[in-house]
Amino acid sequence: MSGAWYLGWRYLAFHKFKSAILIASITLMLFLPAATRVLVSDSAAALTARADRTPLLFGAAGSPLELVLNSLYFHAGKPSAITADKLDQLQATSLAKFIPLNTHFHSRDNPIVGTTLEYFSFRGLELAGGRLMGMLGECVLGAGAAARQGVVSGDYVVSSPETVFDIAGVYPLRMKVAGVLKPTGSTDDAAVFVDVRTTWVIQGLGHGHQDLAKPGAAAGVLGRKEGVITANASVAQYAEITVDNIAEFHFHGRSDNFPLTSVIAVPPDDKSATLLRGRYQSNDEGLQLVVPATVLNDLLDTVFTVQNYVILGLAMLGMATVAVIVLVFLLSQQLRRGEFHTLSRIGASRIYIGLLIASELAFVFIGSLLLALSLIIVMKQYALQILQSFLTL
Amino acid sequence: MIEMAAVSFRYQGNVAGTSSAPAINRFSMYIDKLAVVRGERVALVGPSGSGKTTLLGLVAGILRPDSGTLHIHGREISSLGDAAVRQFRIGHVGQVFQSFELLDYLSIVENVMLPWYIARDPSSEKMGRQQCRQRAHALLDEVGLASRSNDLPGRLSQGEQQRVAVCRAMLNHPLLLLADEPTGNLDQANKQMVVDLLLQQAQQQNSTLLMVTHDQSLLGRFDTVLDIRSVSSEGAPE
Repeated sequence: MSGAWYLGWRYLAFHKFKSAILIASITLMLFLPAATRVLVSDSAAALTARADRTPLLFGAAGSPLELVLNSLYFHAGKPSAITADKLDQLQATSLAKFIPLNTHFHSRDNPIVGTTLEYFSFRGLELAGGRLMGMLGECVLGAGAAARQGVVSGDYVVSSPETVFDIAGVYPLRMKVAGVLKPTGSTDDAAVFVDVRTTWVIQGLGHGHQDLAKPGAAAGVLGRKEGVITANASVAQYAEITVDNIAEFHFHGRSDNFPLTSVIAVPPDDKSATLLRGRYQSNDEGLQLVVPATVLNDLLDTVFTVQNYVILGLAMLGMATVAVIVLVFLLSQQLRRGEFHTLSRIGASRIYIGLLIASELAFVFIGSLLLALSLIIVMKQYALQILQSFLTL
Repeated sequence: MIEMAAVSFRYQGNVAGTSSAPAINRFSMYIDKLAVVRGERVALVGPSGSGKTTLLGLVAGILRPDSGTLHIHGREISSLGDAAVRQFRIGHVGQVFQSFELLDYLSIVENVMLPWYIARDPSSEKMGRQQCRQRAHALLDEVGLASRSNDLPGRLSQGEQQRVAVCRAMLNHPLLLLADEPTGNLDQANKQMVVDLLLQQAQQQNSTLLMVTHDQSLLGRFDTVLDIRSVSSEGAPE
């Protein structure tokens, strides 16, 4: 390191607090616009990639954006439900493979996604351990959800009550973890996958209890009349579905009316897709068909517009910061006139003193640049997690 | 060693690093003849504003004479270019200032090494960093400050700071040691110590010492006492 560079370095090291403030200001000035751009572009890429891989989506009439965010990213917003008979109607068309989704419930912070086994092959999800769910009450966890809940295959997770104030509500269901998926870097990592009928059990549409016809349940039977058995509250309800008690689980009401959040449609070809879109373009049965990529692009257009305004604002803030830094720097040079005079009297040239000042500026700017780049790299690593945390709010 | 002949000088405009008082900007001096032999230890005296500091500035090459000749160690300084004068100053002139002028952000030893940090370039480097540091430590050892070499100047007393400044001036084995009222800010005990140090170092290095002082009690310790008014015909402000 040449003398001037060394002196510059020592000056900055001596004035640690001043240097740190300068570096922090310039780092923020560089980081914020870049981070905004990186976060938005990475998030947009992740969002659109998933949307592009989801050809068509059926859901209840209402906000297409809410439907897409909930069905693709398991966003916490709850769109209106459609009834299960809509799935039967869609399947009757034979124009696509239809995958139901019911995303109403949570296990701690992880969304419970009721679906069928086809979902796993559709999303290309692979098991890291265990197996896919094989019976009612079993679940498969995304890698992130398993890590967050600290469970592996063979452990249990519990569904969360939707409201603590509903004393007549459904008890949490204890579900056995049949398998854990490999990480994918998508929102699937955070999900707890169950059979769609398991979500109906969680909702209370199906339940399991002691067989009242058996002698062991006699104490809880209040009366038997014309095949109808009336029981009191002492009858044991099952909070977990096991091989031993699965036969005692049953659903009340017509399964046609049970709720689904949405149905993913995967047509085999463009013709089927076109036919499907034509058939459900203006459906008056409370069903809407959306193309997720289109809905997402509309959203991203708005996001990019906002992003441009944010960056413009940050640029103006940056210019103000630069002006303040220049002012502080010039004032600092005034205060250092004595020091420069001493250097000059000992034998330093104007070029040397200029180099000393330039070295200080270079250290500050290079330090800020490296710090900003490091922050951007770190932020890029966590961009998807940041996006997911926004989506699950 | 120092030979000045028919040297005239007049301040042109403001002087960098000084106040721009009109008096100093109108100051001029003329030295018909001045000769100081090598190794001579000279006390430069005279009333304030008579040109003592100006004379030191001319000898150091910080100020350039308007006319006349100035030889130092047989070398015509007044005809050298700026870069050559600077190189000469770093290599052969040691300076001690009244207000010490140590850099607060450098350690004691780094302050002593300051001329090396300034001079350092591959073509003119006389000694490496390690050699320079050893030389600085040796000088600090001589003035009893070796144990404080990594301290910052702010932690030293004024007397100690001036001793560090003397070490800085001696780093390059100077031919010329110029001291501008080096005891002006010191108490009596430190005055004696700093003057002892300057005289001793000048004698050890066979350096010519030119020291400006107002302190009459110190004059007896010098080989020569030179009143600026005896060599400068125009010493007072116009």
